[in-house]
Amino acid sequence: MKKGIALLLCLACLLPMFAAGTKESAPSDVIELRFLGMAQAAYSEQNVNDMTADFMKAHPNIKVYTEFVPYEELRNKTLLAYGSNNSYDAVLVDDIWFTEYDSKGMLVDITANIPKAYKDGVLAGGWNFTTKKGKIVGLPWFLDTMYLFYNPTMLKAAGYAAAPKSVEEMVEMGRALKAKKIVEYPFVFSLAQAEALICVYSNFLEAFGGSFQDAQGNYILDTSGVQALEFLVSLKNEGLLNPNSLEYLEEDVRRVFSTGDAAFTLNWGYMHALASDPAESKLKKEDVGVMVLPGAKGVKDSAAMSGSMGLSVLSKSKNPNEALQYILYLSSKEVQDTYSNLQLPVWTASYDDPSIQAGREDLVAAAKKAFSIMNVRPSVPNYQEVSAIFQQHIQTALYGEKTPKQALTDAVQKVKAL
Amino acid sequence: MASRGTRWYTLLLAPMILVMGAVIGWPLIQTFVLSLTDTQLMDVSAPSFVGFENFIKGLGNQGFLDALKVSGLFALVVVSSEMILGTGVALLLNEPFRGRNLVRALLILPWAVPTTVNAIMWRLIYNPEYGALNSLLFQLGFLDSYISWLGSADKALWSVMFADVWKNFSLVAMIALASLQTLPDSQIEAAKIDGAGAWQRFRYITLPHLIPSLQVALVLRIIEAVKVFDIIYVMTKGGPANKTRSASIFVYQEAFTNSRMGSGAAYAIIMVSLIMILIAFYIRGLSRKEK
Repeated sequence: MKKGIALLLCLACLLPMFAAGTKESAPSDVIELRFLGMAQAAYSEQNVNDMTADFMKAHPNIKVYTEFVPYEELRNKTLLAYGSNNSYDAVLVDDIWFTEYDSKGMLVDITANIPKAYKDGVLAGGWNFTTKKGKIVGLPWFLDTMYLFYNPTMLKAAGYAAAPKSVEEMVEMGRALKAKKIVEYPFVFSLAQAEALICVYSNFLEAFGGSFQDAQGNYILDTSGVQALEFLVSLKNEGLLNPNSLEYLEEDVRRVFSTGDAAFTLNWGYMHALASDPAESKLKKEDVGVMVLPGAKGVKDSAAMSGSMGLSVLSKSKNPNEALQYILYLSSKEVQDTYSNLQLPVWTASYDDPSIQAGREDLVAAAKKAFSIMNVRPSVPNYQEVSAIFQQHIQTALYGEKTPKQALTDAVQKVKAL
Repeated sequence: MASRGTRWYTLLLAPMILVMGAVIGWPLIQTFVLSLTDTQLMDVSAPSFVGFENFIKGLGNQGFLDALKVSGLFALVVVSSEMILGTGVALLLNEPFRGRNLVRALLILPWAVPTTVNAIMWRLIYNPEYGALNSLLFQLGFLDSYISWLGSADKALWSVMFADVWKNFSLVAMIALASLQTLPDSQIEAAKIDGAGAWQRFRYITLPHLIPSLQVALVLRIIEAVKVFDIIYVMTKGGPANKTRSASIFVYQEAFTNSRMGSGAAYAIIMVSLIMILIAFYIRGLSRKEK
């Protein structure tokens, strides 16, 4: 008898294994979608959940489950879920991932299903990164670049009435700010070993007239690339760059700039509203200037590198039509205009809307300019690995372990060997 | 021929063996099979068999060897610090003093803190702008200006190691304290009567008594430290300039960032082999203790 009870207990222990596989069943006429987004300031999780709630109200037969992860986990989670039998229906995709996802056949071709209003109304720059081999595989959700944020009050105190017109002038201003003890470290950048470092570097690469690759896809960083890195290293060696930059991400530099401990930084558009928000910053509106990064003297006027993102339907979605409906709703002009506080819309017409411009005319003007000139980081299927190699080697130069030339030569060699 | 009793116990153990086989044995076999192929993260359906190529490439990969060095240094520093600190604290807590029970209870706190929480906590403590460590050292006059602990190539790994020691020394202390409580007072008293000093009593009575328990703690901690992942991932993600990239983080990056599942599996198998060697030491230590 006792042995029988013991055996039953053993079997009972196994029951949870089977129970774990059960799922609450939904009414059969309701279509369920899973969306993977990013935990970020703009659009925030709350924003996306509110948009989603409105979408579900308008489409009672569709239930959308949203999930959010930090940027650093977004790609891996998308790939792993896709590789399993539990793929998401719609996902947020960084512009540098489109080529990789498309090469793996993960994205639904939506070219034929995009309403004309979208094709005509969305900024042309948006379709550039969501179009692969002539097919549209995503909807632009936000266009962004790293803008140059500066503190006009500090510049005035140092005797400068206008924003810098070139990289060289910006450095001269930084030297004056330090010499006059207005700020100890005039510059702060997000140079931690992460994608943010590549974004900062690639903006300066643009400013010096360079590019990661030539037209044939060969990596070419031996001239302008070296200049851009030498520039960052010289800022550090001169004591103009906050030394903590090497462990900073975007939110860290926002905090440093917002406490008045830097005069110049590069960051995404979302920082504009937060930098003068009393709940988030010590700065007043007049202390925050924003512009497109100026180029190097005699090379170019301005420089911008895309940091945009789009929404895609994944090929494994069981309900691709409903998933497309959902992402069309999220990128619609009405929704984007409603939630434009921290993120500018992708619709051309929005930029002429006085209510969108109000209070951020400088950001809108900078955005218009940036979107017309911005370049993209390497569009290659193995971008993540390439980026990781550059991150490591650029940091090696910033730490002074290698010269910028040597670091970039080694990085390019490693990338070529992949 | 097995007795009826033995068969019955085997039957009772069968569900557990089945579960273990399903959740440990099968994935291990699958990982090994994967390591012999060139499987990509999103191309699991059409891998090619490459034999031991992934292993050969892996053992010649400078990045992986560097990562192994980081794991080795991490394990060496962290475990030796924890053993010394843990034993010292256990000796102190074995002495009678007021509030001893409260301090003993507090000892468990660092160990009870989840690793990710501990990592986030230490990130805040090390913060270069408002971190408590900078503030403390600055106010005591040890620093002229605040330091970027996790952002400097020569301090990041040591900073992570310190955070790990803070969390795990208490495990060693608890094991050592439990062992000390089984040491008969009469032995210490007899040594005192014979004129043995404090060092001699520790060297010839306490330490030999502690060694079997410390051996177990040592091997357990080495195994944990060699496969360190979470605390580094949360605190530095392997940066700056890969200075804190451990072997486990390398494996993760190879499999998921670089999408090379086959190669990642081979690195993981190499890691498992190293850990199995350590487990062999552990089992040997245990059997000695039993003797």
